[in-house]
Amino acid sequence: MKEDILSVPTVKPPFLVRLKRGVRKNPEYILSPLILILLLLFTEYLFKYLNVPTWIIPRPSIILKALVKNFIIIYLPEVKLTLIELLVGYALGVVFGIALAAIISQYHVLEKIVTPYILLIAVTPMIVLVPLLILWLGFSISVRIIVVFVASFPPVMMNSITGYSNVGELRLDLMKSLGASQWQTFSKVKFLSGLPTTFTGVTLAAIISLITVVGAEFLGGSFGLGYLIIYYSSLLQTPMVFGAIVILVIVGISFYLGISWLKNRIVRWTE
Amino acid sequence: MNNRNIVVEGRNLCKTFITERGKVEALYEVSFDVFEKEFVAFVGPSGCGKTTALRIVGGMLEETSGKVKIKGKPVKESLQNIGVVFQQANLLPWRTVSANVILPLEILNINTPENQKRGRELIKMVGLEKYEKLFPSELSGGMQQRVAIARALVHNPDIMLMDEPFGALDAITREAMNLEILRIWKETGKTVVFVTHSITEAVLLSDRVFVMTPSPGQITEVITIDLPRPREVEMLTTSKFLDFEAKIRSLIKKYYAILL
Ligand SMILES: Nc1ncnc2c1ncn2[C@@H]1O[C@H](COP(=O)(O)OP(=O)(O)OP(=O)(O)O)[C@@H](O)[C@H]1O
Ligand SMILES: [Mg+2]
Repeated sequence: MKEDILSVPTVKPPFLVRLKRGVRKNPEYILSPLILILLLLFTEYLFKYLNVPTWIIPRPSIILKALVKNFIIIYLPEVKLTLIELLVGYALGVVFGIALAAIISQYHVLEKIVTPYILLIAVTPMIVLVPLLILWLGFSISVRIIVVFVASFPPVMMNSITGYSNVGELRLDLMKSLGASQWQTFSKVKFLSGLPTTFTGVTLAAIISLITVVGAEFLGGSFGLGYLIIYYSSLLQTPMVFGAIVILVIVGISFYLGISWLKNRIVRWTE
Repeated sequence: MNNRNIVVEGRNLCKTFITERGKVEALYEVSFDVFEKEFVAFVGPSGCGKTTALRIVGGMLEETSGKVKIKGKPVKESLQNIGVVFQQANLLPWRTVSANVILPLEILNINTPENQKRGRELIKMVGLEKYEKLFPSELSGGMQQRVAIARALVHNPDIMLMDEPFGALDAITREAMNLEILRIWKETGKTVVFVTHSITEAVLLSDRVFVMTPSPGQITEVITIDLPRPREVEMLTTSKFLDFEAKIRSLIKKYYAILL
């Protein structure tokens, strides 16, 4: 084969050069973590210098030590429980929210009738149900699953209804012109047209769910990350409290990023 | 022409919309026939009820009174025999070109391999075989409208309803699409009901033009366009063509003269 005169041999530039280019293109990938590290170092030395007692605010290094040392034995089993409560309640809530929205948006009159009730359940902080649920069900995991479920479905439902009722008239005309059934119209047009809006509710529900699960764990039952926070603060073991908080932050961020990733995977079209 | 079979029969159609500002008589006592393999156009100014008439014929809207028959049967029983092209291409953005084209097959539960094959042939007919796997957002407006035409034909309906299908396109693309729709009409032998507010487009395409005027929406006159076929853009400047245009224009103008 004859060599193309115009073709330039491609040599991978050395690692440092590539890193430099990468940083210039996306400086935030370097700068954001850098700020965190600097902040941690700053507090580390500030607290050391000021001699802040560990039981008030522990230095980052002490928190890290507590976290690493106790992760497997103390934190991990509780993290698992919290995650189960969170994910099961949340998943049920998302499915239920979408199903309810699908039914309600089927009938214009029904939508009008239930609007005040939707508002009612959307503004009620569902965590108020926890003492009652404990009364009925005892200190069981189901209390937390139920309360996460109840807290997560209203935002999903509300946003989905908005999405479904804003489907373009022309799209509905297309379905009518083919004599589509209500189910066909929902599954092939409404559900997907409303999906970006549904995801707004799904994201909101994720944030609310996390708040609700920790709140529920504060209120009763001797398991879960929220319980660890209450327990260790009563013992003045502040590093352990912060350890649990750090884990919760990581759980929250992963949860949020997971949903964003899912949204970007699924909603790939532009209107 | 009158010895041919009637495909669409509209009788005394009335449609009254009740809005916050009061009643709107979008259609008042509108009657018309469309014959087999005929190409008719509804022409009239904005708001005269063209879309309303087409939506009733296509089963998308319920008439207030009057009736429509498709080959003697009620519209609701004839939907598989009708294909609709809308003003915007009205494609589903999450479906590829080929998935959009076969949508009617899924809805009508006739998604068989043979029908899918026809879908592919139609995509070829509108010149988009290289774009099958692309999404609507990756196509130009003219290409999107071709996909919409293929979709309207995929279930092999006898009747095609088109509501200002090229209204959103630029003048050059529009002219090309006009010739294309004539070619497709001739190739497939469909009955076409076409809505436009371009008088030129109506005369160029149609066998007959239904001239409509608003408030209340009515057909004021039916004009038979006996220009020879195949129609070509060169005809646009012939005196006969211009006479037809002038006639329709004066009918619409007369209405506005009453108003002023
Ligand atoms: N869904 C609706 N609700 C209330 N009024 C409507 C509705 N659809 C149409 N109308 C009214 O009926 C009249 C006829 O509307 P239509 O859309 O049929 O006109 P058109 O001839 O298609 O106009 P254009 O050329 O602008 O598309 C207008 O006055 C319009 O405002
Ligand atoms: Mg219209």
